[in-house]
Amino acid sequence: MKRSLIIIIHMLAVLLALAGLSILYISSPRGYGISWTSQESYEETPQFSEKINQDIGRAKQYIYLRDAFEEDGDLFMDGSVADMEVEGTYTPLTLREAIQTAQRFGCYLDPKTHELNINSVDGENTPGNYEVKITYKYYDPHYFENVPQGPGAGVTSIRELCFDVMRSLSNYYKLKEYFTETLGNFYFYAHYMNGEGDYEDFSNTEKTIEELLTLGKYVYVRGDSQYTTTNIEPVPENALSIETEFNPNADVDDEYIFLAVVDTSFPYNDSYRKAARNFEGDVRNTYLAVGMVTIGVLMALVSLVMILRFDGYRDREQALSLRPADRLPYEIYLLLCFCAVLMGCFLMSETGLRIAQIMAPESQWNYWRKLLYAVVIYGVAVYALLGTIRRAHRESVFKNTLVYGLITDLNDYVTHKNIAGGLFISFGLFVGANLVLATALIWLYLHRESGTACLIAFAALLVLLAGMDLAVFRKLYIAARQQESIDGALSRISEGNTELLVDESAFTGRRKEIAARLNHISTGLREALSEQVKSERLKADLITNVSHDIRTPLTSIINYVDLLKREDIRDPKIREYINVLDKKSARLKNLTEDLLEASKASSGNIKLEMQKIDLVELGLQAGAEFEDKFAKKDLELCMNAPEHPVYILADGRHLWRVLENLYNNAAKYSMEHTRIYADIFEQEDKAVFTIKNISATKLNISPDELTERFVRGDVSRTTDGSGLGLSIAKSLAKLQGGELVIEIDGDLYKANVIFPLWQEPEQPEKTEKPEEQKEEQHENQTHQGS
Amino acid sequence: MQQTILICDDEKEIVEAISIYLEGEGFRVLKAYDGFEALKLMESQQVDLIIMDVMMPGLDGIHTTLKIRETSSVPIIILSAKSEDTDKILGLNIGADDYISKPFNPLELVARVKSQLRRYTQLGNMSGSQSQAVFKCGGLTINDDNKEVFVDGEPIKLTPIEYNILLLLVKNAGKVFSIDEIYEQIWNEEAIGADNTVAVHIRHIREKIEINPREPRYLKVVWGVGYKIEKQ
Repeated sequence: MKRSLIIIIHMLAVLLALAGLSILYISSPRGYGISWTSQESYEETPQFSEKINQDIGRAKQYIYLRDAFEEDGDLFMDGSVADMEVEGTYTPLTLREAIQTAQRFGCYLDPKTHELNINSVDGENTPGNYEVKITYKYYDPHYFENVPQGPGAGVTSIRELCFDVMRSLSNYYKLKEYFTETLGNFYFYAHYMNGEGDYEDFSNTEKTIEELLTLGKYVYVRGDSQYTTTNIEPVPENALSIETEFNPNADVDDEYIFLAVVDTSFPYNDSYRKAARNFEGDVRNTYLAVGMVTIGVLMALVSLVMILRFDGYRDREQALSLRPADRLPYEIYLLLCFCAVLMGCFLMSETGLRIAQIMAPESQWNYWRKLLYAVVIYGVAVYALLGTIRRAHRESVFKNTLVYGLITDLNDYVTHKNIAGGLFISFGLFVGANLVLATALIWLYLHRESGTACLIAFAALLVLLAGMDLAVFRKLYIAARQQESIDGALSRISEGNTELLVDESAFTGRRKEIAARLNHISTGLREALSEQVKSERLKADLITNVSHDIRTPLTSIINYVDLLKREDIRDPKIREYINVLDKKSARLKNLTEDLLEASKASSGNIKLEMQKIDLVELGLQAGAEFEDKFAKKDLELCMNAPEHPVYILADGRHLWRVLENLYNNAAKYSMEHTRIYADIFEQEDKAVFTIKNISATKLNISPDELTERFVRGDVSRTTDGSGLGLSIAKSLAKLQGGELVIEIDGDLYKANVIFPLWQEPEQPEKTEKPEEQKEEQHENQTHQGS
Repeated sequence: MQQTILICDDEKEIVEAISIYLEGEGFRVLKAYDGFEALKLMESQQVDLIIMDVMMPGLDGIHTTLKIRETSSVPIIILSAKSEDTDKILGLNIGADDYISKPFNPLELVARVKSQLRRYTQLGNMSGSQSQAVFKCGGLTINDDNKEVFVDGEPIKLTPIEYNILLLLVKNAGKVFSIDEIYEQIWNEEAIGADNTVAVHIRHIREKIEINPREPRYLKVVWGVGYKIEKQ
């Protein structure tokens, strides 16, 4: 809010200053500074002096025009107005002849305004026109002083000469009217030597010199005095050169008198009186305007400074707020501002200026145009300045320029060898070089006739161009080849082949670095992999060794516990203790076995004998094995299997282990007196074995967690079991190419063993996991050999 | 006559425990704590069976067994902390007669010892008296004339169906029979799908003729294919 207020104040101040300026320009006398306002009255001001000066000039012109054209108060038609030579013959031109000739050429004077009218279409080519050489102009005695001397001096056409006479005649009429036919406050008196060499007195008044001198302001020039007597400040210049104006022979003449007087009581209503009456108003207006300008400019400056200081900050404390335009690059911003100036000026000239032209007189149109343009420029300039200041507050004036961006990009390219930038520059250079060479080639081809040098240059350039392009092509080709081999190496690595390294020496430039890094990655990956395999094997070995080492002492424990049991111990306490030992040692035995198996199954360190297996048969066999266990807990096994065999490819013994673990779990964790459902079915190209049972305890863990090691359905771990059963089953199923999926729905626990169906056509030997199996067979053979 | 059993293990407590069991069964026990000791005892004593640990300091069980086999065919039961199949196969291949992995059930060990001894002593006795109706497979003997079954000389009681199944398998030792095939052969009927009667019968047979039904010596389960009697 504050900001917009300040802006409005600023605009008002600017308007004020402009208004003052306009007043100064339009309504107060121009060209005299403002010191005249300190004068007491109009007669003391320089503009008064200037006005008299102009009238003196007019009076002087009137005097000698009158001398040339008039005789005894009438036009002297037979008097010569000019001497001239026509084809070497001296001929005087009388006024009559001049007027008639001019009329013949279409020139006449307007009887009312005495303006010169020319209705000539042909100009200098008008028929009857001929060349003359002027030797003297009676109406313009100083003609030859202003014309450059030489052979052609004074040469003109009769038409032009007559027109010139008519122009002077027009002036004569106007001046005569000005001085004699209207009454004014300006009087002059001249005593001078006329064209015939006689002294003549001429005045526009009947008053004597003495009378005139008492009227007010005067300029009195006498031939016999060194000084000009005047009470006008500054002295009108036209009065000073009086003597030479009247007569070229003025130097032998010291009798002349010239007196110009203004009656400062202003008895007649003429421009003097008007100016004198307006003097006070003018002074007031000028003071007012000067004040307006001063105040406006000051206010504008102050408000501008305020805007500049705070612009960009909504508040003194708050952070910078930027406008969308502030995010444009600075050059574009300035360009837009410039466009705004152009558009604003255009709009102003179309609208504002038109209005001004309606309202103001034509003499002021130029002023208004300048003013309107200045307003537009000023507005946009302030806007641009504000934008710049906001940028400056953000310290982004330079940073947000295109030049800066370009420099940054170049810098980035230079320091970081930015690929894209490099590509851009090298491509630009390539295209540029090609263009230059191609242009040169075309130029040379067009100029092929001009010599053998051109042909030689043409051939040389052709070779150069072809060579350059071939070299670039070769570079690109090599780059593509290298890129290809890098791609190949990359895909090898991603496929897990880390053995092959790329040959770094076959690469150049950046791709050499890439190849080196690729090798680095490959090596690192290989090391990591081998490290992982090693640690995995170490872990498996550790578990195997530990369980082996546990077995020997465990054997003793089991044996001696058994021996203890055989002793005839009466004490029920000791018998109970022995019972606990018996159970726990058995549990420990199971644990070590399961641990070993889990370790082997998860590390894949198991020999598989894959063969065609009937899942139905296996299910029946497994079911039979668990009949007793189920019966013990009054569980009923309901088996649903197709009547035909469902063949899969698996290792029977290990698949049995999978089912054994699942049945075992069912037997262990099922709620008593429930049914266990075992289903075998085919689903698309899969064979599925499903076992479902109702859990005796709450199953509040996720299926995924269940197959993790050491997780059991009963969190308290009261039942015997290692918690490895499902983990082993899952690992084994996976090893054989199947999967084990556990689902839990409330207390319903469901385990799915899914294997791909046996594919008939081929008869694969039992070599499903060739590498592993071979390796192990090989080991086996060496063992057998020893 | 009291039979002599040599126990060879570097763990004294194990040797002690085994000897307690065996002595309790009326065997004479010789104790050795490494391979060299065992070989020395073999030279000086008459031994009917050897229980040999694999991992021992000095001469290990494998090499000791190889040495013994150079001169004697006495039954040897390997005792090992390793349970891997390859270990078992290796042990049996170098001339051991049976394999039992630690930690073992003492009763199973005793049963295996007895079984081996019976086979060893009866092999010579029965070699000449074989008629057409007698089928033998290792320690398993079936006399079809009087429907008697012996395992290592001990008579076994089987139901008629169990007997028929066992006879079928023994007659075709080495051949694998699926449940359906067995059913069709025994019941003379078309098998009608998922029925585990046969499987349950076979489990019962195994429980009767095997020392450890989970690791059968005679009636083997070929998982997902069927059942067979190992040809020996």
